[in-house]
Amino acid sequence: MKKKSFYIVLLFLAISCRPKPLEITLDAAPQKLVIASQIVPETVLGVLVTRTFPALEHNIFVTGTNNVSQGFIDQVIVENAIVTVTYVGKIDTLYAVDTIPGLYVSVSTLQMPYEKYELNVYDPVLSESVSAVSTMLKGVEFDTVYPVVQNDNSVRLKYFFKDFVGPNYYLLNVYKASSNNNLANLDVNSFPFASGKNELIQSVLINDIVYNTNSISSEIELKGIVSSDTIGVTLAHISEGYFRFLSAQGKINGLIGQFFREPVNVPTNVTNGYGYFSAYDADVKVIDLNKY
Amino acid sequence: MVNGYVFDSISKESLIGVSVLDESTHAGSISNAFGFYSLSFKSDTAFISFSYVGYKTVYRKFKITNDTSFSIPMVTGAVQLNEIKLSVVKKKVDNGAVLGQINIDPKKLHTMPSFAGETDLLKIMQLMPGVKAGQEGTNGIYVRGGNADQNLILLDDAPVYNPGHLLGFFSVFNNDAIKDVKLIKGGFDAQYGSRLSSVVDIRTEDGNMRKTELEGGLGLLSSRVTLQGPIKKDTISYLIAARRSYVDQLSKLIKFPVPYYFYDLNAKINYKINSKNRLYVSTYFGNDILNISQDKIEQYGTLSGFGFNLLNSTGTVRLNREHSSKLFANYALITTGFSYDVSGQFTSNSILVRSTIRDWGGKADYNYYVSNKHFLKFGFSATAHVFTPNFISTSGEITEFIKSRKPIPIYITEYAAYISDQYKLSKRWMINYGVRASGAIVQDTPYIGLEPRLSLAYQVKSNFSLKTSYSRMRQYMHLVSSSTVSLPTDLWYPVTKEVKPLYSDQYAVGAEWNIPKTSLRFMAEGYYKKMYNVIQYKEGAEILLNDNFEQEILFGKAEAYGAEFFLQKNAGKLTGWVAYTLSWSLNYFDELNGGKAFYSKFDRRHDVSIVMNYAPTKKWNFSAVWVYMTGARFTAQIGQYFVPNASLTDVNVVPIYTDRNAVTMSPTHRLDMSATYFSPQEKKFKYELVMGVYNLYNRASPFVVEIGRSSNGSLIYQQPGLFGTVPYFAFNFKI
Repeated sequence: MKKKSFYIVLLFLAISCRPKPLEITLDAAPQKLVIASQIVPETVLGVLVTRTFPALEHNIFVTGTNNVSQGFIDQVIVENAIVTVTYVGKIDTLYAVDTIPGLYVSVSTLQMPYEKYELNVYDPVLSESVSAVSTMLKGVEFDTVYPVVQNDNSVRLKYFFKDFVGPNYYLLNVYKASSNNNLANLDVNSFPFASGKNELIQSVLINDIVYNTNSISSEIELKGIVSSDTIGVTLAHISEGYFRFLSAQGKINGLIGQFFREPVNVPTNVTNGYGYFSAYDADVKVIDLNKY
Repeated sequence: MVNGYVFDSISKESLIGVSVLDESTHAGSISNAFGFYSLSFKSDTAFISFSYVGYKTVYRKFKITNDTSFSIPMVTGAVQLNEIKLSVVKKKVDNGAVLGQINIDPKKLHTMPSFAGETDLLKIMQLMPGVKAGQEGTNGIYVRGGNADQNLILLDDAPVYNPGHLLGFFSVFNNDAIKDVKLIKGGFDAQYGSRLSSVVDIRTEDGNMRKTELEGGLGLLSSRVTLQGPIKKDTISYLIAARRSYVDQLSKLIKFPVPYYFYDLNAKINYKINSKNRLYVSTYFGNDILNISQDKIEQYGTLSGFGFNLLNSTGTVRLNREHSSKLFANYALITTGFSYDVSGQFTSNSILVRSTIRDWGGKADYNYYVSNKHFLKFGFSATAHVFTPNFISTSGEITEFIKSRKPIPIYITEYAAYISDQYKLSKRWMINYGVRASGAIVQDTPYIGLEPRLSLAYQVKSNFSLKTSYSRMRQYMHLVSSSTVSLPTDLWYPVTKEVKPLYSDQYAVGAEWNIPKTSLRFMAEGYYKKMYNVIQYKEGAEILLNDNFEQEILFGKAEAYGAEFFLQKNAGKLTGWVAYTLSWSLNYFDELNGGKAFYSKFDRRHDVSIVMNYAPTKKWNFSAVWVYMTGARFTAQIGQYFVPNASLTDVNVVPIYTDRNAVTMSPTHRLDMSATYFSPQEKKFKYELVMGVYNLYNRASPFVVEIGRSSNGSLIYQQPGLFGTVPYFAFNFKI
């Protein structure tokens, strides 16, 4: 009887097969330029220019390897773009960095608070232009920033700085020298994009609405930092738009985000493109944890 | 006055909605939810007819001296075509200014095609105009642009928060225990409130007062049994209906254990205290259990235990009292509960999440038969709700990410008072007007609002009427979904200081035509509904286990409009209906979609249902259901780009989306068929053999868009369906 029941159930299951999925064609978004920017105070303004790619892109890696295919790189990375920044009536042209395709830098662009910076990028391959405007906000400085080393593997960072009047947003980044570098080679003024130099460990976005005083004091647990590391900590006063851009990215990522959230449209200030151009000044502190 | 109760002659079951007509003046009434009717007469002789579909029309002459009480037994029987036409015509006169109301006879459901042989009340409602289905196979209903949490589902006056078993694939309602179902989607009488879009008023059987009956059924996934009978003949009766699924037992047979099952139990006592007082005590209890433990889950990897437990319960004590020949009252004490536990254990970590809702309330409803022209309803209610969401207990490393916590219960008291008057202005004009005052107190914040109601009917001819209605509705709680897909673990939350009550204004116009010399009835209705303080979540909002979800909420407006058409044939060998709905549903939120209006997920433009029953003989019945719906809407990813971190040592992949809900999935269409054999009805043991197939041509009903691979390795968008062709059989019996 049990055997008969088994075959009956199996028969029903066999007949009750899942139907073939229906295909659906969705028009891909037109290819556009993407802007990312970074500033090392009084040293470098860098802009990374890439292109969007289809949601159904399947040729990212060389088959059977983890290496990115050249075809994909050619599709996404923008070389030979014309990139300029206009401010105080001056136009600076950013030049391509040979070692990092798609990256354009200027070593002569000054950080001037309250000044409006206009970025223009032209891609000769797509024949597309994008532009973005960012006003550099007044710089902020740490009053104090110091680590609390609890043990070899547990380090907390405490910081305190004065908040400006009105609604403000801040970005705190923590970098550490890569394992290839020692203290002697750590150069906080070197270009942070340079591979093998400084590595971004943690980003903290601060919205002063949660603080009732005219100063901001807090602490964070540093992840991936040990007591023998040297770290660089930067603090920047950023615009609300850039704050929202970075916040939205944080929501996209993670397992929770994939299954339990509505789709997130990441904001942009790039006209006719994506990403964000942000001009800001930053206070930088280098901390050798061995001293604590 | 002549009044009394109308009931089934064999079981003594009260009959709801019987048309009671003064044959001399054609003034009339309808028996209420407890089978009570009342008519007044000027002369000392009354000639009354009582008609009800499925029963032989009864004619009675009464000599009236004072107020006369006559209770009328009605006999089931085949009704002649002309008799149907007559009773339907009269019924339409007597139904008054009723728009947007559908009555469903649950006794006829078990021969209709169904999913895995489980004919489901809520799934049948999805075949009605203006009512849309959600995800395939589930019984969520979306009525006239309203979300699934805007439907008030009542079981003997008690609200049901979670009407689904098995993640919503079956409803909690056992058809054998159900006597009457009314779906109201517009033209709401003032006695109804608390939800914006619909009321599903379900009444259970009272229990056979004369003899013991046993009925039940065996299906592919579950079985049921119902026992009812007299405790004391003509005085006290009982009913017990139980149901259990056996997915867990079936899966053992194929050596792939799925330790899930559900069961439910309906119980009722009906006590006729005397000719003027009747007491009902009814209760429902249901449970969904999934219990995956270590010894059963080798195939689940490091997961050592997982389970959930969903508990649903209702309880009602009702007293019907005939205060006078004109005044009928129903007093009720009501309790409702819903809770779920979700637990998991993997390696040395464990988590338990528990949420509960408990209601305690009471109400009094009065029917006052002023005259044959005036029928007043009035009443009041109060309900205390206690919401205890997201009790969490964790242990192990997981405590670093999710801390144990005891939530603070949220108390809210909801109250209402109403009055409505159904007034026959003239031979052709009927008006139903009223007002409901409702409110709530939560976190020391009071809310109060008025809900005016108005319905107007004009009888153009005896078989053709025009109707219009306006309703304002208010709602004091909503369903917070923990994901982009509805789950039974979605939480009901009340309004708070920050979250204001929802409210809506609905306008409708319609026409109803009983086509002469046929048993065809045609209805057309147009509606426009505006909803305020509706809720959506901020982009990227985290709702899962987040008690501060109020920070993630956005408030906006919604708008829904459309036209519904319904053609029904309800007599003869071939019966059934065709329903078509053309509708739009839009949202307006300043912070979403760049401030532009966007369609709701369930904005499905065309919705067609064709239902056919063919009974060539008394022994056979063949049924077919074909449904078509425009695809559901979603927000599609159509591109992506890289954003590097500040040190260029990592990148985020950022998706590019269309406008919110701008894309439509492929349409859904499906054919279900069944054949039922009836045993000879004169025998004491009666049975039915039902054979059928769900989704005959095996078409996927898309419920999601995912990325898959084509045969050449390229990525494609595809839309899977949940269920293919599912054959089934069922055996129903009655003694």
